[in-house]
Amino acid sequence: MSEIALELRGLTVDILTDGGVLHAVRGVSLTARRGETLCVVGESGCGKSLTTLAVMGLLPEGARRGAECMELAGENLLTASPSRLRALRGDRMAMIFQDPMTCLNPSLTIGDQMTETFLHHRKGRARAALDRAVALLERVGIAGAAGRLGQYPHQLSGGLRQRVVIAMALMCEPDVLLADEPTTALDATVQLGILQLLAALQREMHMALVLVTHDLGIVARIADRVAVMYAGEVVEEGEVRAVFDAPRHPYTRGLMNCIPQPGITAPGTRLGTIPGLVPYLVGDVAGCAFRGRCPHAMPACASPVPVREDAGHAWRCLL
Amino acid sequence: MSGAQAVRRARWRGNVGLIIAALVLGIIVLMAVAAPLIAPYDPYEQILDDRMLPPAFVDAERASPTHLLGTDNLGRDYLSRLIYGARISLLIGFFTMLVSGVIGTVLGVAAGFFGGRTDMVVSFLVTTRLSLPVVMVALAVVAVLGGSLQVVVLVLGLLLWDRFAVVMRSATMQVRGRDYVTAARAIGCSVPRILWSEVLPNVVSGLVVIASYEMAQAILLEAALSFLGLGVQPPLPSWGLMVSEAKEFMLFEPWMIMLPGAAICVLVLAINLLGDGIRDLTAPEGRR
Amino acid sequence: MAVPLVSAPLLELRDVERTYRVGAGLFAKKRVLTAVAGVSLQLARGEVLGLVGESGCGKSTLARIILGLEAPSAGEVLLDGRPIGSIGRLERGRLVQPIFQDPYSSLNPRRQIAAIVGLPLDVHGIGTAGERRDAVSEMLALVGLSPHHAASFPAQLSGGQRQRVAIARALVLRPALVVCDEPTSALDVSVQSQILNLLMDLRERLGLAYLFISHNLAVVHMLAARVAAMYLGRVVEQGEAQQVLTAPRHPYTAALLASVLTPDASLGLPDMRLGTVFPNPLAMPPGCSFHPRCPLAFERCSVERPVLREVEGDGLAACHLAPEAGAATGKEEPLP
Repeated sequence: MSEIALELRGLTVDILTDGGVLHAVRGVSLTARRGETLCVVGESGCGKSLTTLAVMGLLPEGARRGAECMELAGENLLTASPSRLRALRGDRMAMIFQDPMTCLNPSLTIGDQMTETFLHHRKGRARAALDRAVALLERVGIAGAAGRLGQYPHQLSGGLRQRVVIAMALMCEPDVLLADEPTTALDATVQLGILQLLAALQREMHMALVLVTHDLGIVARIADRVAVMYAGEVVEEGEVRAVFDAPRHPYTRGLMNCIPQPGITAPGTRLGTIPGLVPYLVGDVAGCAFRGRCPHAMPACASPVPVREDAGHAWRCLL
Repeated sequence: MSGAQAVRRARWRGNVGLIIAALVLGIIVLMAVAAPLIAPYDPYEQILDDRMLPPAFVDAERASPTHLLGTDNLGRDYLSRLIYGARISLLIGFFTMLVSGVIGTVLGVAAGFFGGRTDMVVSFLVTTRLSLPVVMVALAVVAVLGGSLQVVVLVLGLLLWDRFAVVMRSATMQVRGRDYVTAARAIGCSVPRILWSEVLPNVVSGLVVIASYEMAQAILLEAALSFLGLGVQPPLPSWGLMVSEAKEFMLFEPWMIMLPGAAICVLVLAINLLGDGIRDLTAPEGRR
Repeated sequence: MAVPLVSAPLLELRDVERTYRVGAGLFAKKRVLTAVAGVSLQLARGEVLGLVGESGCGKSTLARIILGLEAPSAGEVLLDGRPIGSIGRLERGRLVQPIFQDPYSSLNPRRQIAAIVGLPLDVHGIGTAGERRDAVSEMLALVGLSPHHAASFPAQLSGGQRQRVAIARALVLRPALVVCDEPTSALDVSVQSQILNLLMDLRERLGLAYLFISHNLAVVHMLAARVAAMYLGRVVEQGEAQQVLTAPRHPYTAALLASVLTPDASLGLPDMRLGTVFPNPLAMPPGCSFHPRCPLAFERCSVERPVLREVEGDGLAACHLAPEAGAATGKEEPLP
């Protein structure tokens, strides 16, 4: 097994609201290895985006983070000084977001933005930075890369912008790339191109890719390992084939039943559903957060639920 | 102190300004409404024996016990004139805000909703209006038509609508693109109905702040006009006129000019704080 | 083979075109943006027609034209056999209604749910106040919302609940045609399935026809009997859903299909490569508008625009390589 690039244990994120403390992330543990793609999948409100922001140290005002362990290639992120964190961000760990337009500064050229990271972290010469930028733009499939350096973000289409954002993130060859719903805003054909690119880059640079998404299709095709999140916790985790072939947690099973599969779901049949709504996580939450919607709920589910494990496939359920 | 408490504390700090402003404004409005009941004298009554009496806190010896804030150069009770002056300021402020608000809202919503030529025409009108020197135009018109409450309200109302128009235009443009407006059109709603029931309720929140700002502006402008002699005419107890009449005595009896000046300040400050407070109350909700 | 229709179809589009003149400022030269061109479609009562395509293909513009909110620059739109321009806005509202994608912008935040759902009844002057209240309650029950929501405001409801309200509002007048513009794309997976089931149930109960616009081919496959695929304003392929979505005859439809990522963990990413030349509706390529990205393009494609014609195996396709209907031998080019 390759070395661990990012180790996360017991992450909690609390958000202060008028009505009390919102426990958005409750004890999440993840391990991302070099050369491996870990997908964090869940629906809105499960805390998956906050998890990646917490790792990067980019939580919004009013959010408090706590963790037992948060290590980047062995270096402890919890005790690192703010200046050390700034040095790590962009250099050893990078993040790309859903909307490329908000990642890119509309008043700076592509070239300026891409070389900014490199020059800041590597203190290299401008020539070296530009060469690397051109090389990366070509690698991400942008034709006429040298000419693009002088262009502004609004002159590019959504798919091209996302490629530029990816190239920017890779300028310093990070150990970990965190991607928060990078293709949600893109068309299907464009999405596929971006995913192919991410997969290829990950192989070449032997980095760890942590991809956050709500799309189980993406997870199935691109991930090596998957972590399913619900209401701030990881409810199931394991190798992607194991989890998809035999999902153990009722939420994972429910999710898979909801998706129409062409060729399998006969036209005109009804899809599976998960009744109810996601619980509001303010105040103390005891026991399994899914029990209100679970077809197999038992009285014992109200107490803290143990994590079961079977050959690397873990799930948080009594069943 | 926990985080939730910190959030609540911050909210309160913003609200204190609102509460104080609302209280002050409330007092002034009550004062204006109840003027005949609380003013000790008729503001127009000239008691020539008692001219230029200072208020008690300035010169206790010369002060008169019945004239709490002294008298002016024509023997009129200052306190009564201040109280009645509130009426003038509030009336002018309020009605100017109403006139300019209606003009600006109609133009802004029309420009934002219909776009195209309508937008071009309204934008042109706004640009023209912005290039006019407001005070000079007001002076010129009043000089021609004579200074009276109605003329001042009309002139200022016809000059101060631009901010309303611009804000309403952008707010309407945002709302026009929303799906619920499209749904209303698909249902078969007529355009007036869409404007009244779908667009207007969703753009008025911006109005409150602009309205308070323009009201304060109108009061200040009226004071300026009256000060220059081309606003409300004497013997009306307008605060601006009182400042103007007191300027010749400024060095010897400074209280005469400071009292109406302070009154204008307090009223404008209260109105602005009220507008800010209301915006702070409604904006966070909008952000969520 | 399509059965010849006895009565006029519910919706018919004949060669519909919609162009816009765009240009910055008062004096800049205006360019022509072709949002929709040469679109001909038919939809019978109670039928579901799926419309697939990516952003910029013109499906939203087409939806607005069908709703009567925009007039086509050329061509005809017929509702129940009558030109849409000749139908008054109230009558049109009783025939065709929309359901939009974004549940957060499709409801007026200042009105209560009962007022939102009752708006069509109010505008059309149907029933007394009491009858309208009853009709609204009935609709809320039909879409699976409990009656106490009638007094709520949209901000108090979740995305899925808001979408149910939008559906209730669309159906309260019992329209014959509902234009669904990506009705579930903005919802979570578990909520999507609930709403899709609801749409299917309602269609059966009320005999509705849907024009179902979506980029999710799996969903379209489930709901639609016939499918049309659009690219840069034109229909490039049309036919039975089963045919189009399993054995497409146009390279774009094939590419769209290949981009669908089914949750099958034994497969990796599909190997489709469409290149990075992106479509720009302001500068349409000569000939076939898809040829810069098409893996099968040859010389004719950049010169002559292929016509949408009948192809073998039923349906229509606009590609020079698609086998002609009734071709004697199969010198077929199998699409990858």
